[in-house]
Amino acid sequence: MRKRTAKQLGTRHDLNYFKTWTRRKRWLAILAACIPVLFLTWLGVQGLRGNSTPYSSGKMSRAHAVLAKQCSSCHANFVGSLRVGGFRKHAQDQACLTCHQAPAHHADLAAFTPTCGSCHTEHVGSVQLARTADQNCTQCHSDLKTTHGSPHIQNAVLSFGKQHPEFSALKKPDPTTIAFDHAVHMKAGLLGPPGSGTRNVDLECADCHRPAGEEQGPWRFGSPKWQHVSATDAPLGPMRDSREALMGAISYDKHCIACHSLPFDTRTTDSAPHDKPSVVDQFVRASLAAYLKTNPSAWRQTEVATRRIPGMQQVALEVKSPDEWLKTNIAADETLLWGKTCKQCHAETVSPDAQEAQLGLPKIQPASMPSRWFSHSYFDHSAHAAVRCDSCHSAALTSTRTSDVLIPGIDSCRSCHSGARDASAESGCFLCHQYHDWQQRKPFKPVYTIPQITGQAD
Amino acid sequence: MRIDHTHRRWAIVTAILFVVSLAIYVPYSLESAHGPSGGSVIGIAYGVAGYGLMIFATLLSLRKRFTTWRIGRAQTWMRGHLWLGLLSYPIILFHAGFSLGGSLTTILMILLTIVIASGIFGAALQHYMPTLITERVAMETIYDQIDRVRRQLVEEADRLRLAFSPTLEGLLAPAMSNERRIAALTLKLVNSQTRSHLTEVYSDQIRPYLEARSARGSSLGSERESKLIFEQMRTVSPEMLHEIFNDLENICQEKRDLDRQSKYHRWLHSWLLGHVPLAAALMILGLIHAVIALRY
Repeated sequence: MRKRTAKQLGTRHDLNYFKTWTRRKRWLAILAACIPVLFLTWLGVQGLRGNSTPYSSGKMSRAHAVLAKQCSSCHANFVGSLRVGGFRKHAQDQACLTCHQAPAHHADLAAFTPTCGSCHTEHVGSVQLARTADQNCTQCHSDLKTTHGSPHIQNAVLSFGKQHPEFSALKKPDPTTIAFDHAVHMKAGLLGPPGSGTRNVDLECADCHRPAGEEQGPWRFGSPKWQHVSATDAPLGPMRDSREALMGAISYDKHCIACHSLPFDTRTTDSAPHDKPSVVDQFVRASLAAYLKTNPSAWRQTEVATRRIPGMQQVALEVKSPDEWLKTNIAADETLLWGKTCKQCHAETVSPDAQEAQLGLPKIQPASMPSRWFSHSYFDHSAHAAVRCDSCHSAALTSTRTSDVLIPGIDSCRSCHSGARDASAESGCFLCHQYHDWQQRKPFKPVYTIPQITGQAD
Repeated sequence: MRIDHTHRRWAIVTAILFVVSLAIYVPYSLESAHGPSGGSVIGIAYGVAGYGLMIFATLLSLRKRFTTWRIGRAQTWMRGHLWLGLLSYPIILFHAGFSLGGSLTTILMILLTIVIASGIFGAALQHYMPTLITERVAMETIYDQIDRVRRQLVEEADRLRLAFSPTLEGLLAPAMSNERRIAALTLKLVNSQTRSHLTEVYSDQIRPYLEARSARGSSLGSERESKLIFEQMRTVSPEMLHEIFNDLENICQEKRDLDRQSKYHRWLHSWLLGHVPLAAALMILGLIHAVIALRY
């Protein structure tokens, strides 16, 4: 019988066995030496190729991806605006400013000017650099301090969703001098253009309000030249127009003329031009003169004033010469124009020009219609094309006064842009505001060639 | 090493450190304008802490090499290696802000992930396998001495062989008992055919099996097959030789145990072939990353 005693078993082993390297230990040592060497070799090869991307702290933004293998194009040392080479951990502003013009924001008032990199963070992947975090803005605007004077805007803004002032445009009345009643124009079954004879016009917002990029028409209620312009004279281009963001200006010729023509005399079908009073005056004079030329005996015919004035008897107009006929009728027509037709929309004053005043021509006040309501921010209508106009501009359906400001308030925007983390449209400051003061931009001199940018230059 | 109640304190300390670092990370992550970054002050602090934990985990290999150093028990070091090494992973994730960064940092993160995953796998094996080995390997020996023991088994079997296949030297050998000498001579005189069959089985099956590092290709590797072979040997031989075959069968059983032990040992330790070299690479590349990031 085979015996396996502890003593026997003890003598079977080499007591110094732990001093020798087993096959496993040898492999472990070989691999522990070789694998780090492999990685170091890879780093060395990259170094010899002049490729320093392994040490990059992250993927470049889409805009700068072309510079991904040229670390020194941004991480260089600068003395003033002069590049002196070397490698610098944090890219200096001068590196950014060699390619970009970026006027600082209220440089004369701001307590401090942040570095480019503190707002536009690089090496964090394919991001839009302009999409800066709210904290970059609120580091000053949460408790705004200025170097002198006091801020002219609310000095505590935290975020659009939480603490943001109402839009400044809503704090004062619409400065437009044109009398316009939105409620009347938004009624159903409006009387259409003269001669149409039916109340079949239901105006839509887009009949008057379209982005500037679509101003070429056609305009349903514009003059004939605006009905076909997009198809013939200025067809829409294949590319999206950059002017899609803002609404175009309102003009009589595009939006009003079809229904609101400017008749001035029953003897002519002409409509007065929508122009300065002196031009209108010339037109009226020329029209009546032309009428008299084609109807030489017209001045002999006794006329009864057709326009009835309440409380006054109708009297026969008797003139003694063609000149007097002309003078009388011009005065009557222009009284109608200045006193009613033009005044229906325009504010008038006495003309400061002595000659025009002598002729009785008024001065038409400038329309003063704001082309942009947001003076410190940006709104893109094209990004909101899916939303019905009256969903935001609800007051437009009932507004009767020109002075009503019809842009929506901040609460309307917050319906979607609430700033809630999980259920909100983007509501970052950058969406509407820009840090850089582009009014301060200056002529910019480019310095790089394409091979230099792509890293192919010697 | 079994993960038992002796790990409780380490686990609690690790959990507390994790909660503290998480409590710092969450507001830091939410408040920083550009998200968490390894280059920020807090990010660098996480990086230093994480790399420090990795250095501590690496020091276990030194502790193992210099066993006589009076720097704490090896088991304490192993517990620290397990728990603080594990803690290094979330700390490094906080350092990186859960992003991979450039190529070097991506490689570092992949290496760390593999090292931590292989470490967890290894810890699980170290927890379960020793019990399994104890249960299934009755005649366990020191793993590094298996080859030496195997050679001794061959020598022992060769001595037993003399009982049915005697040589003159063998018969004269003092180690051989008189009983066995008689049995061997009886077999030699009575039945040369049986003797030749037994010799053949020994030379062709038993000895090659005992000499081989593994049981692959040998029917003796199976306990069932082995029983049949030895049963047959006992059937054809005189009863006085049966004890010889019982011993030979026992030697083969021990060899099977050694083979099984080798297999389990490979399972138990082969993950180290990935864990250790990758950890070495991680430490070296991590140092390069730290120097480059802090210097430039």
